[in-house]
Amino acid sequence: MVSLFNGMSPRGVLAQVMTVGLMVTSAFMFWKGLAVVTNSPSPIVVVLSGSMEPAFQRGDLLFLWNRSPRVNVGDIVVYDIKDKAIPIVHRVMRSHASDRKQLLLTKGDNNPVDDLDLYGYKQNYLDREEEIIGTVRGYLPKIGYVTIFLSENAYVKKILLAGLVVVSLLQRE
Amino acid sequence: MSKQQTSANLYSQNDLKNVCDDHISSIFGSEGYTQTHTLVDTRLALGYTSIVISAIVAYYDYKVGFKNALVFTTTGVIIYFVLNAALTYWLLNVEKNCVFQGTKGDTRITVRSGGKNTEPIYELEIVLEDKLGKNISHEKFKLSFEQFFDLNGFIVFNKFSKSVKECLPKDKKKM
Repeated sequence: MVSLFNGMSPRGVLAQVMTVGLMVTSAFMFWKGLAVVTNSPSPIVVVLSGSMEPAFQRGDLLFLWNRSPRVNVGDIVVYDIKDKAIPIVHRVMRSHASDRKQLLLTKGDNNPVDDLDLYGYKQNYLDREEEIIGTVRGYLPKIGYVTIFLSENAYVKKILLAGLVVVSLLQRE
Repeated sequence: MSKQQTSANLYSQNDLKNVCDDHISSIFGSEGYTQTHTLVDTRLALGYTSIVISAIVAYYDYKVGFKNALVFTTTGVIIYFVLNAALTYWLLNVEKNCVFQGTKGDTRITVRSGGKNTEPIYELEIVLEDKLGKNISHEKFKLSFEQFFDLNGFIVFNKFSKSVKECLPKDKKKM
């Protein structure tokens, strides 16, 4: 038989709850730490479409770096446009840079046309400062399918999370 | 008096040790020691402070966006990991599996427990110090779980209490 907080003192219960809290927050803070170091709000992303094949396939895990002030033509960047749900991974085709600003045009390697249609209404370019989340610096193939599976089956995610919390509350080290 | 509500798994050293740990404080309480919670409270303070910091960082970042929150987030992350390091240090070097700390008159007692999960043994370490922190005695004991657990995995409190009390230095008990 298992039971929650079996005969534990109030401090024992607090300590047990704290362990779970630290587990969750340390994962979160590690992520935030990585974001701060790479200067990217989302330093690891998962490829969702085949638009960059054969370079990247759906499910690949990408590691981003966002510390270089200018990106180069040929770089693969991830951009996030306001009001559009998902960040996009595409290659930089053109760049117009001044001291203050860099404007970019991107295209998916596997797409027949450039990204103009993917940008916002009447938007003809990407702003490096505003919209680029990072340049791809490394990748792990296929691993990202785990998150694709979890986000496409939201209930699995909830069950898994609830299960983790319950198990760690029940288990005393 | 047993506080145990459900049976322990007799094959799990960890389970048995936890049940014993939960009963230590009432034994030393009945020996006249007033429990002090400084060690646990410090740990809880460190842990919950870092959880709160993490929550604030998450909220602020969500509220004003990554770029505007960058300095705040950086500071938060640094403080969080410093606190976590302090917590780890506290657990490993100060608290060291302490299950009871209390005072009786000028004597301070610190009880630590342990054991290997391959052995059915409850290890106790009892440290007695005077007011100035000078060691009066420092002894380690090994108690066998079978002495005070019944076949159903419930602790027999009287037997456990007796075994633990036998570990206390005899002459000090008269103090």
